[in-house]
Parts: sequence; structure tokens; C-alpha cells
Amino acid sequence: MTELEWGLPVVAKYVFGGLSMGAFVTYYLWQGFGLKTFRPLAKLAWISAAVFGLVIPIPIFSHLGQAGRWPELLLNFHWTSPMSWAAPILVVYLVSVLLNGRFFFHDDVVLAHRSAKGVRRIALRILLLTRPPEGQLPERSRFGLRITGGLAFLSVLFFGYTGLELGILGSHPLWANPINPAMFLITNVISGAAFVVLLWMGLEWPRRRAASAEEKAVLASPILPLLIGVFLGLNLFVYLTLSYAAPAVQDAVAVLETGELSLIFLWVGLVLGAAVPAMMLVGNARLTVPRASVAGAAAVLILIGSFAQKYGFVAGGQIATLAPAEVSPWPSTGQVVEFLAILALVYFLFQVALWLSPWRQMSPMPGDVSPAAEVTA
Amino acid sequence: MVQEDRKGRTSSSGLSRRELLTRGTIAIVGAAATSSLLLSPTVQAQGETHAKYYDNFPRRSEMEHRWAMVIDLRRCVGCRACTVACKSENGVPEGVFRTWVRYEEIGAYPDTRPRYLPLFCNHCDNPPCVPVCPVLATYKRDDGLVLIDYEKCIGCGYCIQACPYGARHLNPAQKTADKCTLCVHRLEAGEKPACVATCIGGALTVGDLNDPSSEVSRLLAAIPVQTLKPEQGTDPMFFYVGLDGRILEVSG
Repeated sequence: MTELEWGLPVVAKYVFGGLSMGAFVTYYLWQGFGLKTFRPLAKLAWISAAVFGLVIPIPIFSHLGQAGRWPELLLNFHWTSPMSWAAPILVVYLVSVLLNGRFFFHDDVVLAHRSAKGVRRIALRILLLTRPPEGQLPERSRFGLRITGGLAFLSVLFFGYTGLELGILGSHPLWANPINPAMFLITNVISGAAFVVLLWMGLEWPRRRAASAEEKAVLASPILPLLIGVFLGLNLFVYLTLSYAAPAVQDAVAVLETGELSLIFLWVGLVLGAAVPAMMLVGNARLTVPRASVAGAAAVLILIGSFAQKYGFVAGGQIATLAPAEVSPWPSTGQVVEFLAILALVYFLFQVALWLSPWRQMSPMPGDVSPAAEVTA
Repeated sequence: MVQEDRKGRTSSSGLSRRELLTRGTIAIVGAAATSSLLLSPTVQAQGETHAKYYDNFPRRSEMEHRWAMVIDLRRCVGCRACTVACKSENGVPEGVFRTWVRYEEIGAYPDTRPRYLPLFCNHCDNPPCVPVCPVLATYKRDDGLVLIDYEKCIGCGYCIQACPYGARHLNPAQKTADKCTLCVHRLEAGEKPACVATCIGGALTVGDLNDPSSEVSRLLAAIPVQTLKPEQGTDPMFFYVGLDGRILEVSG
């Protein structure tokens, strides 16, 4: 038995990419679309998008046989290979997200820089890029914030290339599906938003006795269950369609429906990781005071489910075309250790980011409307 | 101006919370669905897309050579000498193969008989492995051979996934994609590929389709042949004699 050609590192690339773009969409719901419900999440959402964005290249490099030749990816862009789109999309995404954060956190970082000492002060100075203003903070231009935010959101939409990477492969009946980009985009948004909600509750909730109206609105938001509903509907449509396709395609679908991967894809990925949390979130939203514990449990299930869906889909697509004895659908010990090491790095980066950034300061953020302005309007 | 929704909640962008919620969701789901719809023709009309991709390649008549192989399954005895010769000639590492022979038993006991299917890279006319290579390391030569630039390949495995015949593998020694080259070094020296030279049953015949007097051209003119997985639209340059429907479905 051999390992899957595309195993855990490829799944990790999809998972971390999804978490990053999902977190950015959560941030952009406030910063770009002005949805006040997501205001309390905005800073943590941006931090999550940046941290997960920074680790996306790691599983990519670990997967490549000749990682040292990565510049070839930048030099050989062509339309016929969705994988060659990755380099420009990821570069534009990461650069615009990081620059966007510079504009978004500017005032907070300036204030933090003034009071910081030692290494933190140096780090904050570097993050500011330009010389920090002295005295009263000047009126900020929102041009940079809007441009970089819009560019990052646009590149998020192009993240559908990950689904297309698999979707154009006619050699794998399970993958050869034009709806893949939409499925990947939606599941990415769901997982990223769930992570941000979980992080926010983990950091903020122990400090509070009662949830504010703003926080209750987050827990009662219909966006997450709505997107899960759309995702499940697309899954149902795709698999029902494929179940009546050619025999080879039916065999491929059977791998996920009843085969060795049905536990991880169908039961953990779709039922436990999507249908159950959707019901939990809908039920929670109907309570007078939504429970943080229910939302937290739902977010954990969504994250587990998102990983399981991606692993099941990537592995299932490959073993469906091979004889069962040829390849194991499960990751090797080395791959698992590598994945855990990346998770440890993610944890470390979050610690650094939370230590550096003034994310707890709820100073007016770009996009905030002061109470006075609302009254006069 | 700041608007209010039914519950009196306002939004800084002048839209009610409900409107913004709806627009945001529509933006995400709509963009995702639109991108799928826009991209779906690429998948459905893959043959057409690839044909356009190869428009720049010289037409058959303009090429000096057009290498092809005929595999006569009636003559294959399953000795696997081709596999061994290929390994030896090309220094193929342990655990992977450029050429291999699939063994099957057909019929119902006690009336069974063995059947052998030698498998190679099919050097397709419309190779799905070439356009997906993100660094353009795999390419199709004017003489029809699909080759890999081992100095450029990053070992991402995309071509391995794209090949419907399972003909490619990741070479564990050089950490790049690898596959049958039809012993291009021997062909260019005027010799037959190692597998062809060693085949004890004479089941393998390689030759130039542009030469009407070549053995391959004469065999193709005289005997009905089939290719593997014709529904994939890859137009293989390896032709099998004696394939039946069941083998047509065989995967790599």
C-alpha cells in the first residue's frame, strides 16, 4: 500500500487557505459591507486572516517534491493550469490583506506604539511602515483601506481556483465537477467565520458576565446557518446527480457514500460538521438570549467538519480511480506530525499577533459612525 | 444618510441591516455561482479547449517523425521482460515503474485463462497532463512524444492526477514527476525502445506513422486496433490489438 499522491499537505493547503479567506470575509462584512453585527469580530477576524494566510505556503512547500524551485510558479503563469493561478492570487491576497491591516489598525498601533517599550515598540514601529504621527492623530484617509480591502476581497473570490484545480481533472470522476469552485468558496467562508467566532468567544467570553446586545447579535446572526444550508443543498444536488451518472462515476460516489471514506466525509463532514451545527445555530438564534456554549460547540463541529469534508473529497477522488489494495486513503505518521507542527506554528503566530496587536481596544474603527453623527443624520 | 430597519437598527453605509445582510450573502454566493458557471464550459468542452491549445503544434504531415506503438495482446505472454528492461535502461528506482503489465483472470472457474495488459504512457495527441503543469515542465514534442523537463519540474503531482492511465509517478529519487519516454535517447540513436527490443513474444511494435512503410503503419492499416479509455478524448498514440470492452475500463 502506498500513500496518496495528494494527501494531508494538499488538504492542509485547502484548509488553511479556507480559514484565511473565511476570516477575511467575516472581517469584510463589517469593514467592507458595513454589517454592524460583525463589528466585534472585525479585529480578530483580520488577525485570523493574516495568520492563516501566512501559513498557506508551508503545506504547499512541504507537498512539492522540489520545493526549492518554487520561483518557477511565479515565472510560468498560464491559463490552462489553475495551479499556476495560485501564485498571483496568493501573492495579491496576502499583500493586500497585510496592507489592509496596516490601514485598519493604524490609529490603534500608533497609540500602542507610544506606550509600548522594548521589543514590542520596535515591532509596532515596523508594522506602522511610515513614521508615526506625533500629538493628535490626524484625520485618516480611507482610500488605502478601501483599495486594499477591495483587492483582498476580489482575490478571495478567485480562491475558487482551489476547487477548479480538482474540477478540471476529467480523469477523476468525483472531482470533475464544475460546481467545485462554489462549493470550496462557501465551505471556506463557513470555516473561517466559525473559527473567528470561536476565537472571539474563547478570548472575550471569560472576561464578561453578560453578553452585550452587539454580542448577542453575533450569536443570532443567520449568515452562518444560511451558508451551511446552501452548501448542503449544493452537496445534495451534486451527489444526487452523480449517483445517476455513468457506472464509473457511481463507483466514485460510492467511495464517499458507503465506502471507507463515508465515515469521514458523509458522517463527520456533512452530518456532524454541517447539518448538526446548522440546526444548533438556528435553534440558538431563536432563543431570547443565545447561548455562547451552543455557538462555540457548533463552531468546533464546523471546523472539524470542514477538515473532514476536504480530506474525504481529496482522498476519495484519488482512491475512486485506483484498485483498493493499491493505496491507503489515510495519512502517514510523517504527514500527521508535519500537520501538527504547522498547527503549533499557527498557535505561536496567534500568540505573537495577539501580543502585538491592540485587538482588545474597542477604539472607533474605520467605518464606525459616532452616536452624534447618527443622531444628526 | 443613515437608514433604520424595522427594529430601528442602523448601518453606517446608509442601508438597513437586512438589506446589507441580503446583499452581502448575494455577493458571496452569487460570485461563487457565477464563477462556477463561467468556468464550467472549460470542463465540459475539455477536448475543444485542448485542441485549441495545440493549434500551434505542427500538423502530422509536417512532422519528420510521428512515433506510435502497437501492442498486440494476442502475443503478450506476461513475462514482464519489458518492465525489467525499462527499469534497467532508465534506472527507474525501486517501487515505481514506467512500464508494467497488468494481470487479470477472465472467465469462470474452471474455464479461466490469464490475460495480460502492458501499460505505458500513451504519449497522447491530446495529453491532459501537459496543460495542467503549473510550470510548463511537461510538454509535447513535434514528433509526438510527451516528455518532462526534469530540471524544471517542481514535483507538485498535478500531471499525475491528470493522467487517466496512471502512467505517471513521482520519482522517489529525483523528486519530480516521471514516466515512460519511449526511450527517446534510443529512438534518436536509431534504436528501438528497451521494452520493444526485449519483448520475447514480439507483442510490441514501435514506429513512425509518417512512414507508410513502417511496421506500425502497416499494422494499423491491416488490423483493427483500439485505444485505452477513448471517452477521455486523449487520442493516445499507443494502439492495442485484442482489447475487449472490459480492458477499456481498466485504470492505471
